[in-house]
Amino acid sequence: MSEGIIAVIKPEMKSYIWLQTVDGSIQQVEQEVAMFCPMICREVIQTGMGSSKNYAILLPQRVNPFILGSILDYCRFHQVQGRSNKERKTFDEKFIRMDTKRLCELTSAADSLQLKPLVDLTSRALARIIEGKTPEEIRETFHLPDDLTEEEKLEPLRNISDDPRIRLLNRLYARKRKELREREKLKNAEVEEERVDERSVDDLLSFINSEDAGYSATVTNSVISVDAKGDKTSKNKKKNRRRKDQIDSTSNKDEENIPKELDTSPSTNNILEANLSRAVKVQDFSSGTFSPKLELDDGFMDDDLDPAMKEELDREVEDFARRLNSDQHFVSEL
Amino acid sequence: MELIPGLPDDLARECLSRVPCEEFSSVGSICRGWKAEIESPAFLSQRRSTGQSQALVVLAQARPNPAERPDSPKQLLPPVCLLSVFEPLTGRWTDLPPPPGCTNGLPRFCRLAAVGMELVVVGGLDPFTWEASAAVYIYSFLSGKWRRGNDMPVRDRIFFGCASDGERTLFVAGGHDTDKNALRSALAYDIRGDRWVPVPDMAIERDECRVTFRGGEFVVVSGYTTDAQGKFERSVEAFNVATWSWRPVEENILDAHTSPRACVEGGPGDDSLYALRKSGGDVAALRGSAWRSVANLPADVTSQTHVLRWCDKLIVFGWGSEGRSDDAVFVLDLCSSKWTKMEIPEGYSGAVMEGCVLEI
Repeated sequence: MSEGIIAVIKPEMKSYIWLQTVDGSIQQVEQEVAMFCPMICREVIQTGMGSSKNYAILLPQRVNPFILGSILDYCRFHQVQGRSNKERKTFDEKFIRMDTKRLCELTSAADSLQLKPLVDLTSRALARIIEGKTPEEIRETFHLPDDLTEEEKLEPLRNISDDPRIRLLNRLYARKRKELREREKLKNAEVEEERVDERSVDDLLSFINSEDAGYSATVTNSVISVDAKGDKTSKNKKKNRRRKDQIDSTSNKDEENIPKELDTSPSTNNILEANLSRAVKVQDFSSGTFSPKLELDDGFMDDDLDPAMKEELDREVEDFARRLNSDQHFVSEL
Repeated sequence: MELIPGLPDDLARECLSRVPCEEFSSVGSICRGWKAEIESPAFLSQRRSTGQSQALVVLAQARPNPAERPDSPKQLLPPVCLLSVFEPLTGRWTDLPPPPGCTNGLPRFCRLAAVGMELVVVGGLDPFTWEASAAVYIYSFLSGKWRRGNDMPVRDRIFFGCASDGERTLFVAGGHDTDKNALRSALAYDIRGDRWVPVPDMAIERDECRVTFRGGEFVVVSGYTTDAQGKFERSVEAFNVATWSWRPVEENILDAHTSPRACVEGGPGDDSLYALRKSGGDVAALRGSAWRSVANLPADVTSQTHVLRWCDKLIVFGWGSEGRSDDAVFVLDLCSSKWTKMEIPEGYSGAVMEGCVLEI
C-alpha cells in the first residue's frame, strides 16, 4: 500500500492521509476512507494536517494501531456509495464478530473518532452479549465485582428459553402447591376419586397426537406424558403430567385451549411472520406453554395435590355459584 | 468504579440502555454499579430519548374462570380479571401473573396506571367478596416483582377515574360508594413515598368519569351525578397540580353520547383530547374549544370497551356492528389517520376492562 514516504499526492491516483497513533507509529490511509471518520475529516479541513508524514494527524489516545485497522476496514466498506442496505447489514454482522474486549476497545475508539454508526453497532453488539449471558458470565466477561447481597440482587429471572414472567408464575404456583400440600397433611382430607374425565382425556390425546400438532402424548397409568416435538423450550425431556384440573389459570387456559391453540397456530404464525425476530420467541412461548409450566422449580411431583386442590376448588365454586345467584351486578357491567 | 472497565461510562450506558426490558432484572443483579444505573431515572429517560424503549400495553381482561370445569354444564362462573401484556411493535402477547395471593385474579374493574417502570393496580371489586377493594398493587418491570402499596384511605370507592402523571403521582377521582352515591371527592397517591394525599373535592359528583393527564393537570372528564344515573355530563374539570386546586368546570365540552371511556389524552406535546364519537362515527380531537374530526371509525369498532394512547397512535378495543371483535386490536395512526387491525392470539381474547401503556 504505502510506497515510500516522499510522494504523497499521486496525480492520477488516490490521495492519502497520514495518521499517527498514540504509540508513535504512522501510517497512510486512502483519503476517502480516512475522511469517513468525522474527527479526521475535521482535522484535515480545519488544520490542514495529514498531508505528509511529518504532519500526520495525531489520533486520540483510545485508538491503538490494531483497532485502527478494524476501524479503517469498516470505513473502507461503508464509504462506498452504491452498496445496498442488505450488503451493509451483512458486513456489519460479520464485522462485529470479535471478543468482548476488542468490542469494548472498538466502541471506545470509534467514539473518540466520532464515528457514530460504528458506536451504535458495537454498543448493540455488547448489549446482545449481555443479553445472552448469565449474571456470573457477565461478571467474568466484563470483570465486574459480585458486590451485591442476595436480597439486593433483583430476582435474576433470566432463563434462555423462558419468559421471565412465566418463571415468576411458576414460582408462585409452586409455592401455592407447597402450601396446599402442607394444608392437606394437616387436615387429613379424604381422598376423592381421581376425577380424570376419561372422555376428555381421549379427546385431548387424539388432538395432541394429531398430525399438525407439535406434540405427542401417551397415557400410562392414567398419567399423561406430553412431549413437545421440536420445541426449543422443552429441552427434550419427557414430562409426566397429571391431567389435573385447573388450580392455576395458566394450566386451565392451556388445557381448555389446547385444541384451539394448536389449531390456530397457523393464523398466529401469520401475524408473527410480519413482525420482528422476537416473534420467534412468541412462537416458542405459545407452543411451549406446556414446558415452562412443567419445569417446576424443585421438580417434585404433585400427585398428592389433587384431592386438596379439588376441595379448595369445590369451595370456590360454591362461593361463586352463590354470588352469581345473588348478585346480578357484574352481569350488567360486563 | 467504571460501569464497564475499559469503557467510558457514557458508552457503557449506551450499551446498557440497549438491553431489552426482559433483562432488566438480570442487569440489576450484576453489581452495585449496574443496579444503580438501571434504577436511575436517567436510564429510563435515555432509553426513551434514544428510541430504545419498548412499548408495553398492559391490559386487564376478563378471562374464563379457572375454577370453571368444562364438563359441568351448569357452572357459569364469572370471569376473572387477569393481566396480559401486549407489545404493539412486535405483536407479542404474554401473561403478567397476578400478585401472590391473588389466586382468583385481580379485583374486577380495578384501575391501572403506568409510572416509570412500574404498573399500579388500584381499587376494583375483590374477586372473592365482591366488596370494594382498597388494595394497591405495584408491579415493577425492573425487578419482575409485585409489592403492595398502602391501601386507599377510604375503601368504599369503585368505578372511579384514575390516571398518573407518569413520574410519581396517581390521581383518583369520583366513582361511587356501596350505596351507589356518586362521589365528588378525589385523592392522590405518591408512589415514591407510598402515601395517599387528600385532594379538594370536585365541583360536582362524577361517577364513572375518566381522568387524563395533560399540561400538568389531571383532567376529569364527564361522569354522572347520583340523581342522574347513567346520564353522562358533558363537562370537564381540571386539577392543577402546581396550584393544588381545581379550575372552574368547563361545560359543554363533550358531544352528547360520547362516553368518557372513549376519551383519551394526546401524547407529549399534544394538548388535545381525543374522543371516539359514536354519533359522528369518527375520531375527533379537541384543541382549545373546537372539536375537529381526524379519522373515521371503522365499522368493526363502533363501540369501544377501551381506548389507549401509545405515542402518536390510539389503541382501541371494542366491537362493531357485527358483534364483539374480541380477537382484534385496532390501532389508529393519528398522523396518517390510518387504521391497522392486529389479531389477538387465542388465549388472549377477552373483554378489555382497563389498560395502560408503559414505555420502558
